[in-house]
Amino acid sequence: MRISPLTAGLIGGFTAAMLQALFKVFPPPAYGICIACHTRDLVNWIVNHLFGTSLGLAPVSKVFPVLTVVGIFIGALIGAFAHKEFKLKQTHNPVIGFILGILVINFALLMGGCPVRETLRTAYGDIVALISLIAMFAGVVVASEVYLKRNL
Amino acid sequence: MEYLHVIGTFVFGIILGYLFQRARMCFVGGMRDLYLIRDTWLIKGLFGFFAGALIGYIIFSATGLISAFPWFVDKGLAPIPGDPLGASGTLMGHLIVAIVGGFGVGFFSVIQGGCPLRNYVMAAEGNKTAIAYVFGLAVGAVIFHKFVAPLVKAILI
Repeated sequence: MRISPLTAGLIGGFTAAMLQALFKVFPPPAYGICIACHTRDLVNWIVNHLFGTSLGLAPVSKVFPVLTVVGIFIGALIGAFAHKEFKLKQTHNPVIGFILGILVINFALLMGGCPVRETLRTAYGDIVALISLIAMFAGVVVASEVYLKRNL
Repeated sequence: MEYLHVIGTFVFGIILGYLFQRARMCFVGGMRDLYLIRDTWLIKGLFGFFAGALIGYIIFSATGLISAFPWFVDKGLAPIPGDPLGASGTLMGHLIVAIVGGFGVGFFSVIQGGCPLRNYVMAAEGNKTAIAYVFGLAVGAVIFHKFVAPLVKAILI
């Protein structure tokens, strides 16, 4: 069965609000789902506990980090195996993927969240998050022009 | 009860991971398809997410579980949550990091082929590039808090 992005988005957005209201995923507010921030919380929590550093993480993750990204990975793994879509492949050079990962999370943490959380913050009434979404669209347009159209 | 946030994010993370895998949900991919081929199938995911979150926030603030839209009502300028920069942020500082960060995420996500969420799902589908990307995210998080955040803070404040 194919689920449309609209349905998945509606359920995801509602779940993000519910996680904040019922499961106390705050502070900070509008933190229900964020890929970049929750990866940061998980990684920095582990690094802090292993090496005694005090890298920054969200207040909610001080005692034990949120596990959204682990859950999403396991859920996607279940979905891929259940529908026989798991296949080892490669879209482009993994080294470039690794570097792009470092770049993306640095820009994402700079604006305070990944695209998912920027949308969530906008729904929670943060105008600055809406501006960052517009800036993201500008970045997408520029990258499409200078990169995608040249490599099609 | 202290660990509610862990249980909630883990259990609902699994459900959402399954849904997002089935839907091939991608926020940046939606913007790209909208611009490149005028296709609105994926961008509906972003608007659906926005609508779902709005409905959720309206319902839960009506029942008194969360305070209603503090960013909307109070100042619109709460510190960037969970971020070392937010503590003494000014409007200009917020706008600069929002615009620079947003542009960078959009640009590099298009080159990678999807937003961080999509890459987690692709990593679970066995894409080696996406797996390397996820490791890049982990390393980048430490780099950001060790080097980039103090630097940006020194520049902006």
